[in-house]
Amino acid sequence: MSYEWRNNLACLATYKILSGQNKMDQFDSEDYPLAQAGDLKLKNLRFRITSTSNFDGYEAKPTALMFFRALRDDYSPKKEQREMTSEQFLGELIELFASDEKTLTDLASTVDRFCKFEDEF
Amino acid sequence: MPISKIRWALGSLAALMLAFPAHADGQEEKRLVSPIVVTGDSGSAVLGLAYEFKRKSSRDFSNPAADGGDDWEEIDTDKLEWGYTLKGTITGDPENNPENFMEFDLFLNYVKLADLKSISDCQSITCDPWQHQFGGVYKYEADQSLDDKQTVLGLRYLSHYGFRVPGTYKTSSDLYLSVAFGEVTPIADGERQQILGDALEPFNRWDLQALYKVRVDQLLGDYAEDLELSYRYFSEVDAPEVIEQAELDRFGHAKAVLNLKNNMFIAYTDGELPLDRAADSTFKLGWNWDLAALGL
Repeated sequence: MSYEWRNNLACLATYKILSGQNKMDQFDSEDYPLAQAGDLKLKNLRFRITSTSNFDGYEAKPTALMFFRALRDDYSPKKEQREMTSEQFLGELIELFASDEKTLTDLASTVDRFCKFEDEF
Repeated sequence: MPISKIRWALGSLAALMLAFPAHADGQEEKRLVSPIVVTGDSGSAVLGLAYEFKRKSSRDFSNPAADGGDDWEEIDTDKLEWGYTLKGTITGDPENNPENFMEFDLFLNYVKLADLKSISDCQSITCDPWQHQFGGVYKYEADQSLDDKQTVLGLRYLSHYGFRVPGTYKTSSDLYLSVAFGEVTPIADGERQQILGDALEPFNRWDLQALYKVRVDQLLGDYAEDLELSYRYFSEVDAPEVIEQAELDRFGHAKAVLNLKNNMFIAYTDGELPLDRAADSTFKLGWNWDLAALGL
């Protein structure tokens, strides 16, 4: 069953980190209100290099690092399972940010799969 | 750097990859086609299609054994990536294509990523480290008509530096650098053949590119997103005098792209590429079109 964009901490954290003007500021919340942001594609965010492909989607890596940093600083999530590693989580984030098809819902789904938030402790 | 060392380095990278379990633990695929209208110095407008197809696999060698704790560890990534990219521009009449350039790129990269600083530790725009990627690349380059073509075997270094806005997780601008050195083997090259005769010898070449991406929405208004300025420079090493005299040893290509909302863009390019040697200035107005959204 596919993940649903809804009012939980995984979706809220994803939305606020990406849209907040003092966070990553990757899109304007006026253009994509919370309820309608789930279908927004990650390739349409501001970090993407559009003028050349000579960097091979390299920009996804620093963007994923920034998202991971913001998530830890602002929401202090724990690992969903103790065996999970930061490298695995970051690897999936990089793939999502490098993808042309993935959306904010896909990102929130990955966040939810890897992270346990305070309402789940 | 002698070519034998490049081959040795590439062989070592390949052996390193094969020495570990062969299956990838990450995969990525990309299919992008952008309709564009291109105008050259002649003033004539050409309808074209820019395309990019990509497949990439990766294997992460840095996963430490989980320490059993619930907290996320600091990032210190060591990773291998391999795959291919096919990209270029098609127009109805290849002779009127100012971006007459097609590339097939087979790559193997070592990726090093370091953790970023938290807001409390980041008090200046230079608080974050450079991110690095180093690897080998085998490329097939051709003009759209496939009259001129060549292969490139070499090493490539990529890096990124973000100028962070203190107190936030955003950058005001980003600098990307690409430095490559490799052996170019011409397969067919009309201009070089005219000068050097039929025996086209391989040669060494530097390929440098710098890209600066800066936010402009505060400056130009809500419809503008960002400006990308890039310059790419190719330089043949120890080129024969006749090649230098014919100005076939060095090529520079500048590009400025203003990204607008709704995937629209305005672009200006100027200069030459190795297989597109007619020095040309072009102006483009276009939009990005997602094939996947059409179910293709």
